Amino acid sequence: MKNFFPAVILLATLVAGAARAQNCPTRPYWPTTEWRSRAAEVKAARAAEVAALEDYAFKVTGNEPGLTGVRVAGFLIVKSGEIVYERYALGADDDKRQNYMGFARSVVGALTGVAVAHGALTLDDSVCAHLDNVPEGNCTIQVQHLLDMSSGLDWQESHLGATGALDPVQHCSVAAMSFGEGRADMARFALNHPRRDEPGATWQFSTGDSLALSGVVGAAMTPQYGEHWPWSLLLDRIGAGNSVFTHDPRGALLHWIASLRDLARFGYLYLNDGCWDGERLLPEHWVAESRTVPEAFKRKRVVELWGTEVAGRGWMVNQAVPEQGLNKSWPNLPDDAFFMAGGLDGTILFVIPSLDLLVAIWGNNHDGNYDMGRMMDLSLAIAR
Amino acid sequence: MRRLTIAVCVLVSALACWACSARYQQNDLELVVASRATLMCTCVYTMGMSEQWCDVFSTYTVPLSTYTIDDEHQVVEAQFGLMWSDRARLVSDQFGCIFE
Repeated sequence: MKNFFPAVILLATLVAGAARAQNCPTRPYWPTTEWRSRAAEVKAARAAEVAALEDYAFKVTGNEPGLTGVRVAGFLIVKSGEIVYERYALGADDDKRQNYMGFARSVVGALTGVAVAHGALTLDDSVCAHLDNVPEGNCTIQVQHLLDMSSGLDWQESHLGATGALDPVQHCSVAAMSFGEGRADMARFALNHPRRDEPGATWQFSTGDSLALSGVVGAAMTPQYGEHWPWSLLLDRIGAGNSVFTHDPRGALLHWIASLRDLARFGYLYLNDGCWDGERLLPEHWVAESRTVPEAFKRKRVVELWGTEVAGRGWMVNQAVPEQGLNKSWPNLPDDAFFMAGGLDGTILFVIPSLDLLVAIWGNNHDGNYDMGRMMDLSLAIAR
Repeated sequence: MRRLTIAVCVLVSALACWACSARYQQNDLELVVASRATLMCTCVYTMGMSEQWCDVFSTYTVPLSTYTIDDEHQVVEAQFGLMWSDRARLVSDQFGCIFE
């Protein structure tokens, strides 16, 4: 016992030293196996604030599973690494997984960082350095262009039902890639489109760019690390190993499906600069770059079913872009807030470093009538 | 009944060739059926939600197709009448459902 405490102190010093060596933040604990929760304590202390959120977010009108009313299936708030609010409804629970659909591009962005950290590719690599059967004219597209959604490919993102009416789905590149002729090899399907612009010249929200990136990164990593590398090198490390990635027969990752707690773990990775428990999983500055608006976005946006949100790299950011006449998406949130969007029915993840805060919402709001700004105001009242 | 049959045929033809200038091969109904199969399979076997919930979730597109679930083989088949069908199958815990 006499030698126990010095050994513990030495170990703690070594761990802290290793974290510092990688410029990683330190935390009292990491939620790799379990999240710590203060939800009961917070609910007692802030009963009125909790009631206000629940009155808004969990209000159901119409018959189950009707499509009306402001409603969510899950709501999770993490403050300083601890759950301060968590509730589920409509059959969801802390173990059930949601299909986050468009959130996959954020996870693919992180996996690109993992591949860069392992030296499997660089952001300047041509797509043709990793994938065959890409037209020679598209070999000027680099990994960075895909990450920035500035490939310049002639792509139509408009999605099934996105306008609320019966769109001609046949026109939609995403539908053709996910469910039609492209589904056997999504990355090559995307990269075989003609070009609309030079790579890097313009920005367009494009699931095609995301899938092409997924295919490139997979081709760079899988031969050396096996097909389960997204789990062994990232998702297992942060305790999100139970999450699922649907894929095409060639291994390109399409939809990420995870519990709300695992979604929050992914957010916590970004809240901690790409580090987890003293280990740097994403390259230094990767998170900062993810929150940086690409030059192509500032230069020219190809606007197609795209609102007024400002893009980072794999994430949306709460910044104004005067060049495009765009203001902050969420005026009541700090400038450093960034978020994953593109999930169905109001599903969203906010990461707010200055408040050390995560807000993860599993939306089930088919008629799209809830006010996300109000939802966040109510969340901040609980997490203050 | 005859009028109804004619109306349905006209509707199907219109939807199947909504945009004959489309740049992609599959028509709208084929795509709707395919999305239904894979989203329903993912919802039931990967998300673990109830069939009732998944029915709503997987028709976020267009509520035209029907489906059958084969729990023994963990396969979902979606159909539109006798004309189009597609199947998705759970392949693994990590990779979820893919088209057969």
